[in-house]
Order: sequence, then C-alpha cells, then structure tokens
Amino acid sequence: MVTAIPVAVTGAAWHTALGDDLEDVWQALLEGRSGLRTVPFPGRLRNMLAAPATDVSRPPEARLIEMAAATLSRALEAAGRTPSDPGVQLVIATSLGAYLDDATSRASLSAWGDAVAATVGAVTKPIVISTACSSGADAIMVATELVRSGASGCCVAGGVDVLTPSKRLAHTALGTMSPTRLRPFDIRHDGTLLGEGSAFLVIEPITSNRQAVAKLLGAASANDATGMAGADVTGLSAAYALKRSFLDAGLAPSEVGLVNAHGSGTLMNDTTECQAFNRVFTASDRPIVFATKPNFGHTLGATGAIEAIAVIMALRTGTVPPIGGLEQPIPELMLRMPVGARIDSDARVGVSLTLGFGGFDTSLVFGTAS
Amino acid sequence: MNDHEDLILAGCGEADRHEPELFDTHIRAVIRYADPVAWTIAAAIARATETNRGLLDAWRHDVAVVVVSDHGPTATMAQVHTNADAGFSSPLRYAAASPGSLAGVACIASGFRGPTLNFAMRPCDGIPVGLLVGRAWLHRGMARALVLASFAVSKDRGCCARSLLLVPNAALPGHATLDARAMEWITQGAQ
Repeated sequence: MVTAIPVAVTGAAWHTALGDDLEDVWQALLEGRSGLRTVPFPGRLRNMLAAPATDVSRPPEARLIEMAAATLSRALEAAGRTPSDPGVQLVIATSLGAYLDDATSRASLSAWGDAVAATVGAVTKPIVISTACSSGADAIMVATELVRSGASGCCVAGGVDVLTPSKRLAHTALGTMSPTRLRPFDIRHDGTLLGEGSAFLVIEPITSNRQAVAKLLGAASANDATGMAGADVTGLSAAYALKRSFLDAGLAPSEVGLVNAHGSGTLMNDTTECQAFNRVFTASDRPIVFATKPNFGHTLGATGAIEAIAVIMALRTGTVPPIGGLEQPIPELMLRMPVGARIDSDARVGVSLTLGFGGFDTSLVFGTAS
Repeated sequence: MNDHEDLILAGCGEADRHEPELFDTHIRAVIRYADPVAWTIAAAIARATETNRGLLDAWRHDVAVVVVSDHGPTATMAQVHTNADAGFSSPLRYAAASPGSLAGVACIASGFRGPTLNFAMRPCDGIPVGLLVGRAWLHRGMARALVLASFAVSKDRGCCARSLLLVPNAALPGHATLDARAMEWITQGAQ
C-alpha cells in the first residue's frame, strides 16, 4: 500500500453537553466530569439519563442546523478563516439527525446541509455524509482526500447529531441503552447512554502558511458486512480499518501512543474493540486506550469528530483523561487505560476509532503539530 | 481525452425495485428489515458485480463501496416515527432507517469489507466526490475494486438504482475504461 501525504488540522471546535470552549471542555474531561443528567421523557425508557447540548424541547432540525453552523464557524474562526471564503469546502455529516422525528427533514437527505451552508454564508455546495455513528469521522476522512488531491484547499469537516424521542426509544428497544451507567471496558458494562453535540476540524495542506494544531497522518475505513445492527465481534473489520489507516500514515502499530476507542459501553462494542486491538497491537506496543462517551454520552453522528478532537487535545497536552465509570477493567483488554484519574502521556501519534450501525468502521490517525 | 483512463469499467447494473431473489436465503434473513431503497441499491450492485463474481469473492475483503443518494430509507423512517409517536420502537427497523443502511445493506448482501461511504446527496453532486475518494483508495492499494452506486427518483423513471464496478487498469488490462458516458449514466442526470 502507498503511504499518503499528511494534512494539517488548523482549527477545531466542539459543542457538547459539557460546553463548547475547547480548553474548558478538555479540563472537564480531565476532571472526569459528565454531561449526563436526567432528561424527562413521557414514556418508558431503560434510563432517563442523557447528555443534552441544546434545549431538547425545540424542534430537532433547528437544533441540528444551529449547532452545526455555530460549531463549524468557530472552527474556521480558530483557523483564521470564515465560512464565506470561496476556498472553503463544507463536509458535514449526521447519522439520523432529525430524519426520524421531523417528517419534512427526510424528503431530501442533504437539505439540512444546504440549510447549514446558507446559515453560515458558504459559497460552495456542502458535501453531506451519513454513515451512522462513523459519520463525523468519515466526513474528516473525505475532507482529507479532498485536500490531499488538491480538489480543495481548505475543508471544514465534522459531524453533528441531536437527541430525539425516537432514538431514546429505539436504544431502549434494542437493549443497547444502559439501565445503570455508561462504563466502557469495565466488567459491569451494560450499555450506552445517548448524547448530542457537534465537532468540526479545519483541514488544509501542510504547506499552507497557517499554524497547525495537529497533523492528520492517515484515514481509512472498512465494513463489517455482518448485520444491520450487530457488529463483527471477531474484530476483523475494525482491525482492517486500523491497519489501513496505519499503512495510510506510513506508521507501524508500535508508533501509536494513544487510542480513543469507540467505547460505547455495550458488551458487543467492548468485545469487538478488544478483538480488534488484540489483532493489531502486540503486548509490547501498549498504547493508552481511553474513551469519552461517559462524559459526552453517545453523540451518534457527531461522536467520530468529537473524539478526533479529544485525541488532538490529548496529544497537545500530554495528558489522557480518565475513562468515566471504569473501576475494574475487563481482562480481555490488555492495553493500558486511565482508571480513576488522568495519566500523563508522551505520545506523538494518536488514533480515533469509530464503529457504526451498517458496519461502518473508521480510523483516523493524528500526530502532534511539530 | 478521457479523464478516467486509469480505471477499468468492469461491470454495470441497474434495478428499479426490491429483488430479493437475487440473494441467498441466509442473506435475505439478515437484511429482511432493510428498506426497499436499500434492497434496490443492493440489487443494482449485484448486477454490476455478477460477471466478476469469482474475482470479487476472492477480493471481497478489499472491495470498496460508495453509495450516493439524496433519497433515504423514507418508508422505514416514517414507520419508526409513527411507532415512536405510539410509544414503542422496532429495533431492527431503527437500524434500517439509517441512511447509512443504503451502503451497509449492500455490503452485507455482497460480503464486501473494503472502505465504505454513503453520501447523502444527489448523484450529480455526490458521484464526483465519491469517485475522487474511491479512486484514491484504489491507487493507494487500500481497495482492489470499487463499487460506485447511485439512487434517484424521477417523475418519468420512478425509482432507479445504478452501479458501476471499477478496478485499476493494471488489474484487468485490455478492458474498456471508465468514460464520460458511464459517468453521465451513474449520475442520473440533474434529477
């Protein structure tokens, strides 16, 4: 396989249940704070906890568009650009967004993206992606290819998703919603809890004159080809995504110091990721594995982009936040994890892995800016 | 000059409806809750790949899939919405309501585990981007073949799914290359 050229991340912004300031939210993660709280619901759910980032009583499509518009604008501002720059390409993604709960939103899957572009005054037509919980990561992967190829000189890419009644009911019915707490890789893991949010990165060629906050070294994906809602628990396809992204970056697994796991807290997820990590990493590699869904909830179409920023912040600060709810790690995962407190890291390379319904597995490899 | 001489057009397929008979019984069972749009796309892909099935079976872990459709699994979305209003949910219909299922079902039906994307866009807007990304995967060796598919609904044709099977020209020398006519066909006009 041919190694690809790296690109620069020149700006980043997120909007989460813990706030929207890059540094403040990162500090909240290091302190182990969680945005999960009781969110009233008129019917029966397995758990009333969720991590809202907006006023969930408002219509879902309005929340989706507003969050995306505000967050991508802040990411571009951090990069010294504006959405109306003719050279800026929007690459935006959601999973189910408002499609289930707002009948008008599903007539055209891209209409919400056009509305975001109109809201921010973008000149180019947005590229819209929907690959379930890998949506945000896949938007970043597509933007990376656009910049590498020279088709675009600057992309703002990421994901957004909203908490809605249909999603809370469905994860209750699926049995994927935890009846207790979200505890990735803990022996008491029993499911996920939903959240909402958005995150965007600005991606440009490294040769540009703008200061990078990180480098995006590699990006790749794979499909489970297994089931509509079930993952490939052998971890084969998730391992393909990881290995392809390392080859794309021209790196060996031993050079990876950090992994942000999908870490949704379901038994199926933890089994799949453990198998994938065991296929890719050897005992001597020992990257630190962390997960942020206990803090943000599972933000579905936004999670891949939010977690990409978490990797970048961990690389920048040399600190890895504790995994919420993790007290007794499952023995199957033999890699290091931050249990109970933040840990220091000297990693120069970090990976974000996301897994989604429909079998979408995506891996993004980031490096420090210098 | 042909801008696509680096790619062999190894197959094309079209479908306008759900055709479960194209798939083995066990596959039908796994994707039985899939939306008709997802089934139709899977049928077009099955047709595009059938003449090279032996080769693709050998390569199936390295076959990339890119689907482009502005039309989602709307019937299933509406059903999930109706159920939610009544206070309940069908787990498998929820998974089938995801726009990503348009690519995911095709991967399950064909066993393809390569890189995968689903663009929620009109084919005329999304196919050029999907081809750019897929071409990069092929040239860097991240995939050995690329299945490109589009779905559109028009007043005159109704539902239409179309698919192309593309491979690097070094993989099948002597075959016809992708050309402007095939690109126009897969983008399905302006809709």
